[in-house]
Amino acid sequence: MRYAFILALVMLAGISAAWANDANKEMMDARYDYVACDVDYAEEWLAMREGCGEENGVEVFDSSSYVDDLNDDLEDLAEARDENRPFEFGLGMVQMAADSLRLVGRVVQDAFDHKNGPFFSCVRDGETPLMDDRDQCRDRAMEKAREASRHYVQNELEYAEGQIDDMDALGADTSGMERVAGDGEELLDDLDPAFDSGDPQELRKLHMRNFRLVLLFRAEKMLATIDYARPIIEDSQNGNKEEVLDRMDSLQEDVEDYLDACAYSESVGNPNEYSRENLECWDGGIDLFQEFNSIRALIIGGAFS
Amino acid sequence: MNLKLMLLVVLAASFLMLGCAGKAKTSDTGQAAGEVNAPADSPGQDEDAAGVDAVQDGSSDAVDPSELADLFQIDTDKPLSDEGLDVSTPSSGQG
Repeated sequence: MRYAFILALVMLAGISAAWANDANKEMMDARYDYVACDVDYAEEWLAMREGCGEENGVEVFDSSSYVDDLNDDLEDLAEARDENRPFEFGLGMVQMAADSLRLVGRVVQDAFDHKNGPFFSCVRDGETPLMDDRDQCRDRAMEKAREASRHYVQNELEYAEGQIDDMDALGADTSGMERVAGDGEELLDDLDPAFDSGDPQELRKLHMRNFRLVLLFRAEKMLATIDYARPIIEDSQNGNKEEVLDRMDSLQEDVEDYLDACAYSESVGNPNEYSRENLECWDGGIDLFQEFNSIRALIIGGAFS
Repeated sequence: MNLKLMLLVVLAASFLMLGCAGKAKTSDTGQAAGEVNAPADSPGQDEDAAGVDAVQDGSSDAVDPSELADLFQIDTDKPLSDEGLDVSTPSSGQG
């Protein structure tokens, strides 16, 4: 019966309410609006180009299937947004990027297929008002994104502060967690200047810094927890406390190495390099997070052995 | 495992799940109540905190393993990625 009880506890080990940022949907909505501006522009630009072809006796490729694909992608994004599924939304963005790139490639290919000077002049003249409309549309979407991003980071910080308060109430050393949260406050301060710049690269840098900080905060929380739990485990009667302590020691070492390797810098430098490092930090981080969570079941199991 | 034992396991799991469902109600900030067992009315003086007093007074039998174990929970979802907003759009530069 004792083992049945342990089994029941282990079965419940995976049950925990994962936190989700309330601003996720707002972020997706702003991104959707921005992408919709580009799809509308592409559709109108292709129609304008076909008109130029007719005016100048030039054949242009049939773009209807490309436009259909982009509109299908938009529908998928809207569905993911409405159902508040950020992962699916991200996949939809990847598909959208691929399909839009495919369209541009087809346009480039078509440009080499028996076109003339008047045709190109017509396209150049015709696209200016379309670009103006697109830019205004993008500006509106960016304002939406500014507010969404502010709420997103504020929610993250509120969540972090809650965790710091809880750990602090237990008497744990929260200095590492507080340091990362402080960097998060600075990120919030940098939000308006980045949006004011109108430079998408500056926004990308904000995303990358936020990504790194979230991972580092989790790492610092793991260290604080291990440091707090160690003397309690040492003094406990848990049947497997040596195993728990070994796992905790090993994890602590790995997390400290991780914190060195993924050290935060508010200066992004080369965005592509920073992005690559972020992916490495994610790959390394998820292994550490899973190891950390597995210790929970180990402690519970040891309590009944 | 015989049928009786399996039934007992399922019953035990059901009772515990009901208990957890009430305990793990998510607050406005998303923090799962009970994730860190700090009584709201005694911050910093958490007499029930997992094992603190047990260590101080040496009464290690007072450690509640499930409370301590509950601290070992960290989010595993991938943070919002740095994917850009830009989608490739055609222009006269391309034809």
